[in-house]
Amino acid sequence: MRKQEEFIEDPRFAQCNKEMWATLGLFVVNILLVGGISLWFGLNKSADSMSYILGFPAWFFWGCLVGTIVFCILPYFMIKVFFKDMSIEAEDER
Amino acid sequence: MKWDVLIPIVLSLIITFLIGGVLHKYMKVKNTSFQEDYFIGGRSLGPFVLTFTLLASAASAGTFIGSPGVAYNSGFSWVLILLTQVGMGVYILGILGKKFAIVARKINAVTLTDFFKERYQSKAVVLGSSIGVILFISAYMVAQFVGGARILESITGLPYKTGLIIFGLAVVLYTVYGGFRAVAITDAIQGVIMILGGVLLWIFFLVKTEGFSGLIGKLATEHPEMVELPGPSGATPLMLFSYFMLFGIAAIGLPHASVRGMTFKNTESMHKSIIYSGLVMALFSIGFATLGPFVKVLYPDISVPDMALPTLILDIMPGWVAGIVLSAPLAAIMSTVNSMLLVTSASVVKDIYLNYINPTASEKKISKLSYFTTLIIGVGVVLFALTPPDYLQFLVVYAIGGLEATFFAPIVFGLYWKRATTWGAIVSMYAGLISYIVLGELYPNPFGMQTIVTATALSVLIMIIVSYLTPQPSQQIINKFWGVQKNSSTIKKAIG
Repeated sequence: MRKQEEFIEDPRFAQCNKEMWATLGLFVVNILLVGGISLWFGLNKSADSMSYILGFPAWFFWGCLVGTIVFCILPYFMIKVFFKDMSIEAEDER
Repeated sequence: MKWDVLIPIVLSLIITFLIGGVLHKYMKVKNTSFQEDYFIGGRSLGPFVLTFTLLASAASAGTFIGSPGVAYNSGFSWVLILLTQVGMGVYILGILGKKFAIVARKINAVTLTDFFKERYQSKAVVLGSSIGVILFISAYMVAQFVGGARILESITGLPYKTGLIIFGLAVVLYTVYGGFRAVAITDAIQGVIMILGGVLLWIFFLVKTEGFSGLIGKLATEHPEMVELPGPSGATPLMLFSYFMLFGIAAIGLPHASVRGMTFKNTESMHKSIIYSGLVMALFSIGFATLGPFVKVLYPDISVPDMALPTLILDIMPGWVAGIVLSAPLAAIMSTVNSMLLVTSASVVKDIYLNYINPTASEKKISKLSYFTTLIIGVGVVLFALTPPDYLQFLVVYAIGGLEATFFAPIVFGLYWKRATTWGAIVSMYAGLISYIVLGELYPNPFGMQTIVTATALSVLIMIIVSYLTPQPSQQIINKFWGVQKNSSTIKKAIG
């Protein structure tokens, strides 16, 4: 009854799965870095007990400005460490 | 009429269209079918164009006009919320990833519905997803045009209907004529305009005012709530988390954004685009919205919040520079509408006509029909925008979240989980959509989180449960999506 030839998984997909998980990991880092720092520095603090850096509330400066800048650099390392070049044609011809 | 502001806006529009119209002819790829070329640019995008077309299609007028306006009233807590969208492009490309691009090539998919059709092989999924796309996205396009024409009216004095017809028809005709690649090129040019606009704005702001340090003291004493967290926009930890879902990862469910995951040329383009897209989105988001709270100090009595940023721009800049900067939000509207227009018309032509009406249409017929459909939808949207009907607002409110809640689970699980079944997809799609609308109407923000989180979580859960309860997908589907294709050299290599 085994009409079909044996199922062989496309060898590229293992790497694809790894990259998907790495991106999910980055999402968690994103939340902690931007959301976490902002809330940690700023949540439920009143305006007069706050400090200000360069004209921004300190929580905004560290979480939103610095946090976002750091987050913008992280994808570069994610690509370097986890992502690999491969053919994306329907059939892998390497 | 403020001609000094209007003329640069119109000029930048014309120049963008001219460059796009000429350039896209030179970038034509050989050996692709008409639909592949017209609807997704022959899967040939490089990193620069890919980044901008991905982000510009997702970042609409909200980023440039709406958000500074909300920040004008609610303060920095809103800017924090807006920053949850910075990773959007990274997540769309990274999670759909190479796998989406490879699978789309294997099954020749041009739309998201194509993917669903092959993966789940069910009419309920195909019809549901194409009708969802057509209905929600058309409504959203109408809203974008309405917004664009209102901005144009309030900043230049050009009457609403005149502005709408000129602006709307220009966008529609250009999209009809050029198809995806032309659209992607103008997206890139307009993306550069948006960044340039942001930079000019900051320079003028810092030169013409006392700067941030000079203004913040007054803001903190007069409107203390605007520098606080959670603040008026309610950025509690749970709410903030839900915005990360809504503006970040769930954006994978937006068909006009996720279809761009099929368009990159090679993995190098994709890698670079992931790196660029975080940076570009950060510039878009920080560049405009951050000024909102400071505008409050300078001009405390603006009654329409959407006018906060335009008021500042018109006041501190000479007319022609203001025109250049203010063409950024219009550019954002254009690039959102043109990509949505193509997705909608692809849905009519590919998903409905070619699937159910005439599967054997000739290449020539498809091309005629595609131009024609794009034109009809586009003109229809402009006409609707002239006198927007009341029920439209309902569709717009639920458009983005509705699309996300509907499509997130079927795409991601269909792509990465072999066990995801047809019934799992059907039930989870409808459960996501219906629960999103019903919860939104009756019991918004359950568990202190945005409705979208609950609806998407429900849809994911149902996908998993129903899939396990129904028989697993046929070996044929698994082979097509996961297997190495027959007779390929790889099999020989792998075997022996």
